[in-house]
Amino acid sequence: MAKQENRSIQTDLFADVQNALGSPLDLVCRSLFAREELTVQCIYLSSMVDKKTIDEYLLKSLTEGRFAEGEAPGETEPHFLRELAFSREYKELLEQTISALLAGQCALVDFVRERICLIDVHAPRQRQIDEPKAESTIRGPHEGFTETIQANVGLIRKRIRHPQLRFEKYHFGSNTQTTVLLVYLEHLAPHSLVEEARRRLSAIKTDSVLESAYIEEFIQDRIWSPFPTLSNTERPDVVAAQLLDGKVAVLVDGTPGVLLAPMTFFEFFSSPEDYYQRADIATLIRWFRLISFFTAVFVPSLYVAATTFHQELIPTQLLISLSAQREGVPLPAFIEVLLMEVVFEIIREAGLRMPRAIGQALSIVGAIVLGQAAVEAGLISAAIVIVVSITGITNFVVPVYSFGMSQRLLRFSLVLLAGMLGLFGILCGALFVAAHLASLKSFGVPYMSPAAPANRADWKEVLVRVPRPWMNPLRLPGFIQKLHGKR
Amino acid sequence: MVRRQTATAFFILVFLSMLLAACWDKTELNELALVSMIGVDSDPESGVKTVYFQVVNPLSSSSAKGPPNSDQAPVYTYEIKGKSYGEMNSTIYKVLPRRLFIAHYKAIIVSERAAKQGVREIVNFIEMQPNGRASVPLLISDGPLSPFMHTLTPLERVPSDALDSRLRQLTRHSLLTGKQIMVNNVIERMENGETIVLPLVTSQAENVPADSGETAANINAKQNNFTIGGGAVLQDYRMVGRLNDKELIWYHLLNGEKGRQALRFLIDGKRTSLEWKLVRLERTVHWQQGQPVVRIHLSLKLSSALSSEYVPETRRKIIQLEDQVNRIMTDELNAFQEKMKTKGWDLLRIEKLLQRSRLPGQQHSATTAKNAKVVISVTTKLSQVGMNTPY
Repeated sequence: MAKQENRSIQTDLFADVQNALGSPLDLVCRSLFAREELTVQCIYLSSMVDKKTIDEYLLKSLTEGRFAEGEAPGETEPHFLRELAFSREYKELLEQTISALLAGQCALVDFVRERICLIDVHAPRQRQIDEPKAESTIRGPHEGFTETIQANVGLIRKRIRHPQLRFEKYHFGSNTQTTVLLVYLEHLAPHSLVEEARRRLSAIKTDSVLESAYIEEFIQDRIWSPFPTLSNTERPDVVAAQLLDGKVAVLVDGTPGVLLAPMTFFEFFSSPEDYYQRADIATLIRWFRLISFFTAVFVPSLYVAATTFHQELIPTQLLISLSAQREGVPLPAFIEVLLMEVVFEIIREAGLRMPRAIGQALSIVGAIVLGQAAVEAGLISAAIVIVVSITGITNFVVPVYSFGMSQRLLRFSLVLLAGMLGLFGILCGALFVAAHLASLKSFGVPYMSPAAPANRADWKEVLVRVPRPWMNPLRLPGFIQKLHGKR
Repeated sequence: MVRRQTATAFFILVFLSMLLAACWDKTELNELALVSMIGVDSDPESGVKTVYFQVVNPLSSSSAKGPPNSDQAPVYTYEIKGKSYGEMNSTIYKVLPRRLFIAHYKAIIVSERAAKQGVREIVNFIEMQPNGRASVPLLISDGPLSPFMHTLTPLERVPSDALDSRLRQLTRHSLLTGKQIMVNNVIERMENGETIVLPLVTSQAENVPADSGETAANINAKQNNFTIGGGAVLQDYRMVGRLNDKELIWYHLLNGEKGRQALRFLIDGKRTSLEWKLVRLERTVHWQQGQPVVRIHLSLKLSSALSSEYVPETRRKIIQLEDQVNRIMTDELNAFQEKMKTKGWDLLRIEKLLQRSRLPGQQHSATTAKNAKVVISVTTKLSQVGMNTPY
């Protein structure tokens, strides 16, 4: 019976694999014969494997070494994963072989010992490790994550050489079978936080995961909120710093973007880069980031409110100057700001999509020529160009790009409110946003901590970057300590 | 389901409210007439009131960035006449094409004849304006008002800026004006029954040029300009008299103004300029046989830095100089006080002081204040000496 099955494997296995995968171009089967009898078949997908390993280690050792004496490959082979005995059901063998091939493994069908050896020769196509484009830094490591999860794990391990660094593996996407890793430091990350992350990850049901954003949408705390409750970075040093703060990271195969949780509102204004430079400079820059946030969110709406409802608030000379600029402008200030903001966003979006050489030209044309021409043509006032430019620049100051997106949403809503109700509208909007922020949580941590609930001990970490000798090296952020307390 | 319907209804409402553009309570900047100065005149015979609104011409100021250019005047003066100030809020639009916006006006000038009739109505007119401010200086014109409202001043963009800035400089570098000259100060002090002094402006204009460029091209800044000098005394919202520059200095000094002031004194037979600054002003009341005695003591810091005629070189000479200045100033101040008392102007706010410091059970009366004995003394201390060997 077994022989009957062996025969069937010998004749049909490769053909069945070929059928199942639709005769792909990269499917390779190399057969080895001893005394004119087929002894070994080596099946792999050439696009997924390292051919050098197969040629130099596997086939060479098989043809020159033990195989010459009638021996089959053994468990001492490099990258040996596991074996499937022929005694299993044929269907099961076929399925296991196919999934192994798709994972970049090589199936050695050993007819002598009647087994299939699965050997890992996976060599994912990957780009060089280089600096992340959206998160470049002056001082600090210039390495960024790549699209290969193994390399990304290596980049984290390189920074944290601790036995308690944990990687929990998940597979998501019935079609993509994407590997996702939950990373944390067992002795630092609160148990409740890790449990919550596990629970949220386990609940994901999806057919595909192509980017960490897919996972983010499933595990974030609230769908209808402009504020991100998870951070997203491509820098391994950022991930290492956050893991050392007791947080969890989620790595997704195929993307350099790594998710970090939990995140609070004020953490978006501090960057690990703050800790690579002097404390006084870092503190000053942190304040600039806060100012930039408020500038990016409030300046256009304040301009609309002040120029259309509360002219008495503007200093006289400025009012005269603004008034002179508005002479002959046909559009109301509200429409002007809205129009210019929309045009600015369109130019920015177009600049991102355009090939680099054209993109630069486009941004110059957009920013200078279009703005200047519009002012000269009397379509808009010069002050609007300044307002929109300041807003546009300050929007990029926040270290996390996704947080910049939320600023844009807020800005547009506030401009609408300012256009309808003036400062009263802005106040209503700001109160609404404040209430929303106070109600948000990220993985059980209040989003506005340490401001609300107030924790004075942590305020100094938010408002200033404490010099390193004054820091308590064992101290975790207050909200992480609280989660530890729950344990 | 209900929540979704509510949210949809909310968004529809927000969207519809945006369509109601005409109903928004908004005003674009180019719909406003930015008033920079207000002039008020009243003819006592006919009862006709005239209000001048000096409106900023934004185009001129932005293009000229300083002195008025020859193309357009930096301000346009709109004149409106009527029997009451209230009706002018409507009739102004016979000549003015934009909405009157007086939140940024910098000065209000009242003609002498209007001030003599009383500024109560004018103050009320300012207070009635929905966006009017009371923290602007109130000045009295020496002579007819019309030339002031048609005079362009050099250096500053608009005449009101020139006035405002000059008043600030004068407060800091002299005792010719004080800080308590705003409309709200006038209201507060008039309501307290005090006598106040407001700055007088005098026009130097001989014949006002019609072309603003002509003014800008003239090197003589004094010509066709107006100067601040002298003070108008107001009692119960009515102008009752004047003070000259010297009297103004004593008035502001006795009222605690801290500006620097230089005057010429006769020391050792030589005329010398000395500058002083008030350090402390003490006002105390003693009761002698039921009659009040008000003691006013002034401590001044002296400087002879501006003097080249007389330089004290020894300690003895310094003490001598201080003594002489003390004596001269005490005499001058007492003389001033006596003069004001004769005129019946309580410029030193003696009545107010007595009200505060009266004995228990004692009734206050205006006669007590009038009969109060006032003793003024001055102590000076020379703190700065100029060149000890002038060329």
